[in-house]
Amino acid sequence: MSHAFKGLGLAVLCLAGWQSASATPPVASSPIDSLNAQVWREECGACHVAFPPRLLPSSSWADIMRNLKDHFGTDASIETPLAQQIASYLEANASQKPRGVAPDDPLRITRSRWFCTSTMKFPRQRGGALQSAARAIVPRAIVRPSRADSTNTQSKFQSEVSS
Amino acid sequence: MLRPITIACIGLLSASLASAGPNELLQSWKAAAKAQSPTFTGFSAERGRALYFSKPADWSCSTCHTSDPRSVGRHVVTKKDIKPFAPAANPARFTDEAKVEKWFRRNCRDVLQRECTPAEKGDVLTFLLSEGARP
Repeated sequence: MSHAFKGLGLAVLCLAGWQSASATPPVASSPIDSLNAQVWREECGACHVAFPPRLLPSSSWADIMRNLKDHFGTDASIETPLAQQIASYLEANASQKPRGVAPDDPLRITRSRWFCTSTMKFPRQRGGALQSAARAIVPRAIVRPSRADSTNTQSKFQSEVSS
Repeated sequence: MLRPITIACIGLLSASLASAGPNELLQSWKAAAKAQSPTFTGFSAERGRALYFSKPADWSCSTCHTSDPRSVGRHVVTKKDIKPFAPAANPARFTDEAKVEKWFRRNCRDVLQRECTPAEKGDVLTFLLSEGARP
């Protein structure tokens, strides 16, 4: 079960550097959106980096929200009112480019086109999801801290990949 | 305009209304356990410890909360730090009933493939409280 989640773990490490570097959260367009963003940040961020909605199209987010009882191998079920707030926030701020996702794995950020077409290479590893994620690259738009921070993120990522 | 002292009083009142505590949760689970089983006699730290370390499938509680629930844990998949589980090391634990029930529901399903009974939740909390007394 944990293998299925490793790609996400890797994405978390990538995005951790980006999120800690940017103090400002994604721009919320309305007071309701802002409230929903708080729930999204608290609930999704309880287990991993709260992945920004624009990383996936709304169809992918809707599938994820429909199946929180089996969320990449773990139970992330949540009370309906909170789930509705999160779903609204994801829907309102989702990517407008549905073709970016992997056709055979549309829920996995680490398989989406933007994640898999940048220039940083990671060592190849045995194993399915981990291997594909390890080949993936961190786009500059996502890892945007200072040079020192960037190096840290990369070395943390690589030690994770090789552990 | 509200005086600061009034605001402080309102704050304290709302905090006391919103927060439960480990003892209140134990009382509530005890009543539920008795209702479920007439033979229920009380919670056991030993049973709680056994459940905490049991690994029926991929994970045990200790996989993420570590073998010492007073220490900082780590999510085995996302690698995110988890604040200490035992109230002695983290007084905020077991003060929000909705949060407690949410996490027991999720994590018991992950570890045991079913939800925990009120008796099991009480056993685990009794074990965690006993860990606070351990040097």
